[in-house]
Amino acid sequence: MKTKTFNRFKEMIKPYKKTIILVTMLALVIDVCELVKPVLVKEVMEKYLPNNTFVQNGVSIAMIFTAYLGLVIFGNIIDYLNRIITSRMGENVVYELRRKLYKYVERANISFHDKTPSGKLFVRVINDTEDVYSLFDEVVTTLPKDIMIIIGLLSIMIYISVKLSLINLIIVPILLIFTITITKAMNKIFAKSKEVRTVLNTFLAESIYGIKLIKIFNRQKEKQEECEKYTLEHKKSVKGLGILFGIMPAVMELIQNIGTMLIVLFCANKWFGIILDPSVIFLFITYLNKIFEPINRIVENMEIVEDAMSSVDKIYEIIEHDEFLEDTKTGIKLENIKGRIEFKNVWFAYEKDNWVLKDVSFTIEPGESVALVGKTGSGKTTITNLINRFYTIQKGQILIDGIDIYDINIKSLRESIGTILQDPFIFSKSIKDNIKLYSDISDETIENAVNMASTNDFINSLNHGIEEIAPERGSSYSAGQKQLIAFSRIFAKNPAIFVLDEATANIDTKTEGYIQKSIDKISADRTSIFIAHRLATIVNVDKILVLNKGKIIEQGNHKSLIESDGYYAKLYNAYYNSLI
Amino acid sequence: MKKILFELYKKYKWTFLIEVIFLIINVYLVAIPSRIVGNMIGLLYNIDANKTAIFIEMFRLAVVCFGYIGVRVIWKNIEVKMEFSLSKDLADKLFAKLLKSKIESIEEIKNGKLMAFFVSDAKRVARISTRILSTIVRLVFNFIIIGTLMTQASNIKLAIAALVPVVITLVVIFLMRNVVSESYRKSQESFTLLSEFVQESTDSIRTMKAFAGEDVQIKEFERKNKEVRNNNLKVIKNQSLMDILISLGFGVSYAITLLWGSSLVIKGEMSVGDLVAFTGYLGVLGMPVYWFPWLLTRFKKIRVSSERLSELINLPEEDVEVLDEKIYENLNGNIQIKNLTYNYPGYIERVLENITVNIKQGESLGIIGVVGSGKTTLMNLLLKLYDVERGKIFIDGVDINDIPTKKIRDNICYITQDNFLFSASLKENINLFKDEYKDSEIEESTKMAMIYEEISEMQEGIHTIIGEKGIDLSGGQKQRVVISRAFLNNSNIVIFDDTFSALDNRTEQHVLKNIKKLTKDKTCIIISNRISDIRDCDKIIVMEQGAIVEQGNHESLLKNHHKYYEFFESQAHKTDFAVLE
Repeated sequence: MKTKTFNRFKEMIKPYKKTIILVTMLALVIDVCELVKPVLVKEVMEKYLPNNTFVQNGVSIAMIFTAYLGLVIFGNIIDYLNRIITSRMGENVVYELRRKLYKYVERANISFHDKTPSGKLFVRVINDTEDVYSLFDEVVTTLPKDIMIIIGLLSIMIYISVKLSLINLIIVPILLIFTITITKAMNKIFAKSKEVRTVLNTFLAESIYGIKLIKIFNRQKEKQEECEKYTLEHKKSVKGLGILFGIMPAVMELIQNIGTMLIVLFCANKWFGIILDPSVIFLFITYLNKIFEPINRIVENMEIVEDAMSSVDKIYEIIEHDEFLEDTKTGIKLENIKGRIEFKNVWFAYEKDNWVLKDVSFTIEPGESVALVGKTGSGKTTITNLINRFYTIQKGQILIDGIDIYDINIKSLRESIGTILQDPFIFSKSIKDNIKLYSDISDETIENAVNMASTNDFINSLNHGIEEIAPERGSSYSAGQKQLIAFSRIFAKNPAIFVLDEATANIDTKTEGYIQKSIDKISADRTSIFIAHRLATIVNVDKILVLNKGKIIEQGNHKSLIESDGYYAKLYNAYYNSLI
Repeated sequence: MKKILFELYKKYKWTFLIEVIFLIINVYLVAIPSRIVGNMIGLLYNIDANKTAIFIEMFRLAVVCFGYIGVRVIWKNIEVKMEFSLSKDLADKLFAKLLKSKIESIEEIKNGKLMAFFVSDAKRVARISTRILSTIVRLVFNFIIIGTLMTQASNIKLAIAALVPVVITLVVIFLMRNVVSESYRKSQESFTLLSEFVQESTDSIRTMKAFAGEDVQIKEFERKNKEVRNNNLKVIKNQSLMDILISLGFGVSYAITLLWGSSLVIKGEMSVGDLVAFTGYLGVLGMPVYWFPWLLTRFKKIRVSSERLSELINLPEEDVEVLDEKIYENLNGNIQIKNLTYNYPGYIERVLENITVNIKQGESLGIIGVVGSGKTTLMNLLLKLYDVERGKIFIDGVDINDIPTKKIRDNICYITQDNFLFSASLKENINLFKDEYKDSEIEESTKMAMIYEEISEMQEGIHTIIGEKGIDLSGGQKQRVVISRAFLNNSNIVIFDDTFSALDNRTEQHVLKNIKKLTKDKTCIIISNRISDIRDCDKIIVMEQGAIVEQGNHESLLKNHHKYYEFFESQAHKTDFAVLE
């Protein structure tokens, strides 16, 4: 185990120092109970049974076995406590880890999210933490107990007879080699089977997705054959697994009995001068048999430890990077903002020196509406991202109402801006909660917002109206319906600055009309920025910024730009001609 | 579902019987070493007199151990084989069922759920049912065999006295089963909720940031996270309690055995060796008893999974004898739709209203309308993907309800709007896994669909596998691959359902020209919401909210100055600016 990983692990369990001490003590008590029980049996076998007496030195067999029963009850109660306390610690560690990780994911800036796929983050928060959980649930709960009992068993065995212990040592390497070999062979089969399973699953997923296609082209037979080919492969992939499953405990049993036979063999022949009472021999055999389970468990758990450690590393590699965290606490809080936006010689690159914006300057006065026009990659979306402070610029300055946006409190900044993305995200919550979105707006405001955005028709068509739970990602809603929900959000939020990345998808005429109405209402009295795809929007704005390769090459309104007969006029004419 | 499972198992009844036999031998062989060790200990009390006897016992022990290895390997091998054979049979069966089921019923189940049927439920049913069977057999025979052996070693009274505490524990655990599975369910459920929440959060970061939702989200996460922790703890409490109960039950059994057994030894009714063997038997019984709680939770799980699978098993099927080849006469392609009104089963809202259309062989029909106007539904009915009333749709004068589904689909080439490709070679995506076309034919079809050149540029041409080595096609390329299918097909009816949306103007015009050539003598239906795709059709209908609002040809419709004209107008004014780039 790497020191770095170990330190991370140590940090995780740091708050539980006392618990760990307590748990170790409890484990010790359990182990002592386990070790003492066979001794009581030995006492009876040695001193009472051969002499046919029930009582000796005032101690009866009944008393001994009452003590035995006492140990059983006591040991089990302690064992129960130990399990609960250890598991609680494990649960808390994982709880904390998950919390930290999720908090990081939420607080990290967009640059971090750009380079980290969301699927990967999901795996970190959900699956990798589960690996850590297994570590606690299966390893930490048993490891101290197992190690101590192995030490205890060995000590007593050596105490009883050094020679006999040494003789039995030869079975330990056999045991280890065997267990490790079998475990490895099993893992190999599992890995292969998993691969085949993945292929099969991909096939199934695609067939389910393409079921209509299969039916339309009458390819049922071909697909059924393909399915059977894959399932057969999967069946074959586990060849040998049954044998390994079968052989594992059986050979363990053999090794264990070899130990027994060695003991009996040496004692029966009194080799090396080993002379022991049968009761002691039995005690020795009992102890030897007890040692297998913990050793086995430790070997089996090695894999869990490995997985957990690599997961801990993966998690810490994320949460150790403070540089991606956004500061939501400090900065100037915006109040009564007017909505003046100014870009002053802004240079920006997502990756070093690959400039996306080159020396961009422009001013948007409060209440003005502006359309950003240009080809894909010209920097339109980047500008809207920067206004939201999703990224940090390299050179220049962005001001809102004359304040540098990097001095503004990030939360207050974003609360002042309402952005609609091209494909608005719909949460699988009620439509109402989708409109509320993180805030505690009153029902009345929501109703107003719904009216303003003309979302009523859509909401009324749903079985449960505004309380209807949207499907995952709004999958059954059309692009237009999603836009309507997004507009309701904006009306409910009532921001000073409005940013819209227009959808390119086909939207039916009616919805289109609703959206147009909303755009007009929203942009009437606030600063609005559009990444425009529709001519209607472009023609109506106060100002058009024409972007090309990260530079603003022209600005003005539609009329003036056409008149000046530049880049925009060329684009417009080419487009207009294509229609005829 | 029970019937299906029963049928599947029937196939393996002899295998199962053999498994049971080996399992019983296995149980016996696990128990017997305790007897031998007991004998040895007994003999050790008088070493000199018993030396040979001790060696014989050692030899017996070795033989038993090797016998056990052999028997156990055979048993486990049968069990694992049976599990995976069942798993295969079940998956094949479910898949066949899926292929036979009606589309309208399949569509009501989410894809994720359908997938889960195969990935988790079928697997679970196969695995758990085989394990449950063997565990039950094992548990029962353990009690029988060990009970018998115990009685032999002492007397029946001690055997019963020793087993009573174990049985009591089993009963207690059995009574706890509902509480336990309830706690399992709850913990599962809260974990699913947490997963879904995280999934949604990681997918919606931008929206969340734009709306400054960090704090609200973190708080919500903590609530769900706490829920998971608390529910897990409940599970652990129950689980630990069960384990401890078993351990306690056995502890009591040991104490009783040792006490009573010792007095029997002192009385001379039992030997020390017998006592040692007896306690050994108790230890052997431990293993299967520890499996008991597991068994109970699995019962619940398998029931839940079977119930879920029943949903798939009970889907209504199409009339098709899907899997056998039958040769029909070709359809000519005269389509007649009479006063067709349709609503999805169980819904009041009408998707299609009073549709009447006539298309003769060789004619082309254009359908225009926005998303949701019922165009695709109309096609689905024509393809018999959805059930249609009698007397509404006729092909070559025959009600489609009287034409076998397979014949309809063999004779209509329907190119759907969703340009989905399988992760297979381009060739397989074009011939759709049917190996009766020559490569040259496939290439010809890609030429017609204007994708030939781009495919030739790929290293492996039409054998390029989609999705491998990061190979992914653009939307337009995919669409053209899909269109190629039409050129490979020789049906007399060809339908293109909004399949040109991702093509640029020039390519689109080329493809349309080729389609015209292809369908010169065929019936052709083109669905689109772009005027340019359908303007040349012999007949054009305009659909709105499930009804035909206008029909005619391009010129006559333009003159009408109605809906079609509106489309024309709006398409002149509204387009994505991207076109000009």
